[in-house]
Order: sequence, then C-alpha cells, then structure tokens
Amino acid sequence: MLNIIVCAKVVTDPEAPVSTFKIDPEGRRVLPAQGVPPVLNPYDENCLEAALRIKELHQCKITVISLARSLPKAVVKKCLAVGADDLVVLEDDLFEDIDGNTTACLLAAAIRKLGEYDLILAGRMAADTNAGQVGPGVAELLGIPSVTVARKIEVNDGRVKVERVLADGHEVVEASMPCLITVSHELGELRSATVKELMAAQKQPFTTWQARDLAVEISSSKRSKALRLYKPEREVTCEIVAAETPEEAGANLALKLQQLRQI
Amino acid sequence: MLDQTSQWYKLQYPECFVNEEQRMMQKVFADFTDREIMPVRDKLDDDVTHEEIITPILKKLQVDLGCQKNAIPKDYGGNQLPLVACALKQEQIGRGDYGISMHSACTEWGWVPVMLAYLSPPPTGKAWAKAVLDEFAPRFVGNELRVACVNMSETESACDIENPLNESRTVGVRAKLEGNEWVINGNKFWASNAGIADLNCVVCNMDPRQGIDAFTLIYVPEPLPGVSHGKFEVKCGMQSDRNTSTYFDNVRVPREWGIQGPEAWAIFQNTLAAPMPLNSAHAVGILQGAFDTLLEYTGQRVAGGKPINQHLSAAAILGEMASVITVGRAAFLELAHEYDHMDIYGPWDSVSMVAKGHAVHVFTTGKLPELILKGMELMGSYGYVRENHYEKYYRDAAVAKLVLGGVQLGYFATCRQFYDLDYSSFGPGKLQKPA
Ligand SMILES: Cc1cc2nc3c(=O)[nH]c(=O)nc-3n(C[C@H](O)[C@H](O)[C@H](O)COP(=O)(O)OP(=O)(O)OC[C@H]3O[C@@H](n4cnc5c(N)ncnc54)[C@H](O)[C@@H]3O)c2cc1C
Repeated sequence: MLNIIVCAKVVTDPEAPVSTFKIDPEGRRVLPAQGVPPVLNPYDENCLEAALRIKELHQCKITVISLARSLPKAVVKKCLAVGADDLVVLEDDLFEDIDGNTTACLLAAAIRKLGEYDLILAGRMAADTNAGQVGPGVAELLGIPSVTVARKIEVNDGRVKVERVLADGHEVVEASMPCLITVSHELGELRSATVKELMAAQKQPFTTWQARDLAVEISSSKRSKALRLYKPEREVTCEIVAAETPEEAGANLALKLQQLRQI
Repeated sequence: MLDQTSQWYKLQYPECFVNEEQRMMQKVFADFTDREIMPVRDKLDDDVTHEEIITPILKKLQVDLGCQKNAIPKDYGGNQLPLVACALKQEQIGRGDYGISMHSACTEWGWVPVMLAYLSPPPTGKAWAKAVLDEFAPRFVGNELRVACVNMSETESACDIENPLNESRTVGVRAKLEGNEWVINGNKFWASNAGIADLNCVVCNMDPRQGIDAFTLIYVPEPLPGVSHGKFEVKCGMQSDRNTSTYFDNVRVPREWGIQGPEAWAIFQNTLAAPMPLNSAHAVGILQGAFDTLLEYTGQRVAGGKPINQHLSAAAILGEMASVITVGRAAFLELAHEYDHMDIYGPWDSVSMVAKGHAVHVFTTGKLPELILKGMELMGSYGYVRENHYEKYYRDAAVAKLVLGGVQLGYFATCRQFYDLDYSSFGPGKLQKPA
C-alpha cells in the first residue's frame, strides 16, 4: 500500500478583494484582513486532488499534515471529507510568525514521526507568501528527490512519472520513490465533498501534535528575516491615441509603443 | 465570502445553536453560492428552459453535494439532516437565488412526511414510510437529479387547506380505495417542483364531510398514467422554482403508498410546520444578499459630495437592514434548534410550537419587502436594473411572504397561543360545512 502525505497550509482567501489587504510596514507584517475567510491554500487543494486521483488507481493511505499557530478545524477537516484517510494537525503558539525553513523542519520532523511514506505532495507555493520554499525544503531535510510544479502524476512500480509545467509547455520527469512533488494548479481543482462526506468527516478523529512532540529547536531554525514590507506603488496613466480612422489609430498606437520601446 | 473566524460571525451564529459539523456545511453552501450562483444570478430568470444555467447548478447542488437526500433517513442512504443545517443551507443559497433554494428545499420537503413517520413510534406511519422509502429512496440517493414535491395547494384558496381549523374539509382532490389501490381524482395548483417532480406527496381527502378521519397523504411517482400538468407559470422571477397545475385523472397507486386518518393529519400538520425555520432562513438570506449589494454600492458611489453610505439617511437604512438580519437570524436559528430537540421543546404541531414557528416566519418574511424597497432608493436608477443585482432581491422578497399560508394565517396561528381565535372558513357568513 502506498503512503501519501499531503502538506496543506491554511491561508487567508487569496481571492479576497485587494482593498482588504493591509500591512503594518513598521512591524513588517500583514494585518489580519476583516471579513476574509481562511481557506486551504489553493495549490495544496491541487495536491490533495492529485493524491485522490492516485488513490483511484492504487491502494493508498492519504495523510494530510497542516501546521499553524491555530488552525480552523472546519477548513482542514474538508480534507477528510473529500477522501483523505488521516489528518495530523501541528498546532502551537510557538508556530507564530515562523519562516519557510522552520516550517520545513517541523513538517519533516512530523513526517519522520509518522514513519513510512512513499510520496509527499506539497503545493508549488503558498498563496500568502508565494515563496515556494517549503516543499523542496522538506525533501532536502528528508534526503529524498523532489520534483517541482507538477501538472500530472503517475505512479508505477515504485517510481513516479511527472509532467512538469514549463513556461512554454511541459517536460516529463521520472523519479524513484520515496520522493516529494510540488503540485501546480494545472493539475486540476479539488473535488467537492458531499453533505454525507462532511458529516462523516466531522466524526473522524484526527491527531494533534505540538512543538514538543516534534523535537525541533524553533529559535535556531529561523533563517530568514523580512527587511522591508511595502506595497508596490502602481501608477496608471492613460493617453488616448488620436486618429481619424481605425487604421490610422492602429498605426499611431504602433508608433507610440515603438517610441516607448514596448515593441 | 463567509468568514467563520470573525467576531461578527461568531456572534451571529452562536455555538449554542450551530455545531462544528453544521458550520462545515454552511461554509460549503456559502462557497457554492459564491462560486456557482452569484456570477449568474442576474441571468437565472432568463433561462426559461432551465437547460443552460439552472439545471447544471441544480445538479451540482442536489446530486454532487447530495442535497436531494437531505431529508431521507440515514438507514436508506440519506443525510437525515438536522433542521439547523437545512436552515443554514437555505440562508446561504437564498442569498444567491430564492428559486434555486426553493427548488432544493421543496425536494427536502417532499420527503419530510415519510421521514417524520419513519422516525416516530406509531406502527401504521412507520409501515407507510417504509413502503415509500423502500420503493423511492434508492432513486434519490443515486447519481441522477431527482425532484420531490408536496402537492397540496389548489386553485380554490390554498390558505384554506393550510388552515388547520378547516380540518382538511376544503381539500378538493379525492382519494378512494379500490381493492389494494388508491384511486385519485382532482386538480392541484402552485406546488413548487410540480411538473418536474419524480415524486409527489399528494394531499387528498376521501370524504370532506368526515374531515380529519378521511384525510389522506399519498405518494404518487411520475410519470404515471392519469397524471398531467398545465403550462409552467410565468412569475415575477423565481425561474428556478417551477410552479404549475397537476391533474389527477383516475390515478392508481398501491395502497401501501398512502396513509389515512388522524395519523396522516398529524404527519401533515408537522410537515406544514417544518418549513417555518427554513423559509425564515430564506428571508434572512435574501435580505443579506440585498444588504451586501447595497453595502458595496453605497461605499463606492459618491453623491451629494460623499460616498452614499456616509449620508446619515442612508446609514439609517443600512443599519435597519443589519438589525433585522441579526434578529431574523437569531430567531430562525433558535427555532430550528428547538425543532431539532423535540424531546425538550415538544412536537412541531403543538399549539405553542406552531405559534412560535409562525411568529418567527411572519416577522422575517414580513419585514423583507418594505426594507428591500427602502434600500433600492439608495441605488437610485441603478437599483432597478437587473445587472446591478439588487432588483432580484426585491422580487424574491415579495414572494417569500406569500408561502405557507401567507402573513395573515401566520398571525392567526400565533394568536392561538393566547386565546381561542376562530379563523376557520366555516360558519355563518362563510363556507357551509360539507353536508
Ligand atoms: C414560492 C411559493 C412556493 C410554494 N410552494 C408550494 C408547494 O410546494 N406546495 C404547495 O402545495 N403549495 C405551494 N405554494 C402555494 C402556497 O402554499 C399558497 O399559495 C399560499 O398558501 C397562499 O394560497 P393562495 O395563493 O391560494 O391564496 P388564498 O388562499 O387565496 O389567500 C389569499 C389571501 O387571503 C388571505 N387569507 C386566507 N385565509 C384567510 C383568513 N381565514 N382570514 C383572513 N385572510 C385570509 C391570505 O393570507 C392571503 O393574503 C407556494 C407558493 C409560493 C408563493
């Protein structure tokens, strides 16, 4: 039986209007947005979907691990409702404001503690930081190969065949298991849970571990520090290209773009 | 975008009424509404064939999420959802479109009589429920879109049928037993899902002179010889909810699909009570949808030198809406919670529960139209244009008030808690009791 581990982060809804995004430049932190709900990181939803597709073809156990200072259970239990077998919640006040390296250390420790694993799936990046560090970091710490930005995953005879997204298409990569794959949105949306599955998920027990269960020295694992946090200034100026006819307008626009070295 | 972590949310949906499982479902329905209904809510009423937009949405809600089995007992593969969860669902879907939520709610309603009978001790009701569930539940727990309907109203005053003091003597559809079959004749009108239903719970009477003793509930599947329909009514919106007449012309069904007499009457009275918290939740959802639209618009539109929501006259309307939402929500949650705990609060058809149910229902649905109309003024001409998403709530609000016997009957039922109000349709200057 394959043991698949899915790393899933809870983020504030990235679809929220830009106007709700507020920062504290002095404290170098993002302020909690009013009225914006927490959701599963969309790329992590893609991961879970990848795991569920593998489960449709192979005997599998899917364990989801989620880490935060405090996790909204209704959000993470959705993973159980759609078909994950186990949920491990890593929660501790010490997990406040940790960086990518610490997160990777904690996740790797939790995965080691879980024991056997064949495949670890993580999102290509978290929608709140867009850093994309944690997945490969976990692979590095566990000493296993990693493949990034997958859009399709096939499992066969102890190996994975992965289609990786490239700027101009895709490439096919193979790796032996155990390995870690980061998943991109091209893989497809997470399926919905039915009312019945939601009810069943509610009754399913889950595991909670704290920092002390993982034996990770959090103070020394923090490697990155925000030097400055700011919202980029964007200026929009509009100029109407004057012309008598559409043809003339096209020609004038081309000229203007050339002058601005845009074409 | 429902943020279940905010303090406002916690105050609106307190833990004493909403448990974690119900919260999870609420979030799923809220997301469903935001994703599937909101982007097309101004186009739903134009989808007259239902093929383009409405049926695909209904399939996702009823089949993929599994809502068409919400009121089917767990023993039959159903969800057997508590009323609080159903109400939270209706509020969220109603925020997007009352027609879609009504369609879904009425499929649930169609199963309420057998679900109640199945879960209650009396053996006759249980046997009836078992026969109906054995035959029809498998169709509803599968992967095809299925629709149920409570076919009760008739062209001659539906309120008279819903008025309990009339003891079903105004029901015009006749049922008679011939050997091992029920034979049904007569016409029904107005039922939600009529004409598209796979299964009808038909409200009949065998002999109006005998009132409750001859009252009958019979499940009639479709298609079936003798069952036909008129055209779908064209209404002030609510396209997703089909209403039409149903004609029964010597329709024959097996005896075990029907139940008769006082037990059937009690099941019917409970069935009439069931939608009180649900339609109240619809009303709150409609008002929330209107409020959200208004809040966004009045925050952006500058008139009289400042955003409209900064004018105190506008703030007073917005504040009034928020206060009715808050009170309405608290009321429907409390009511649904009480329904879910019959062991503590008593049966749904007791005088007090009926009074309470109607009191909540009349308040929430009755407040809607006037408030939403007031809000329309804040949007000026933009308010009555479909693509600005406000006027639909105005139309939905007007309809929400008409269901379940309307406001007057609701007030009368509430008064019955305090004194013996006679509002039956029979007596001097009114109808003659059937001789
Ligand atoms: C959206 C919607 C969904 C519906 N769904 C269903 C359904 O699923 N199944 C179904 O069977 N029916 C359904 N109905 C019908 C509904 O139950 C009836 O329309 C409703 O009860 C009113 O009946 P009526 O239209 O015949 O009005 P009438 O009975 O003609 O009443 C008209 C007016 O008279 C008032 N009135 C009635 N009796 C009295 C009295 N004794 N004293 C003073 N005033 C009185 C009423 O309050 C009302 O204002 C639905 C209606 C709507 C609008």
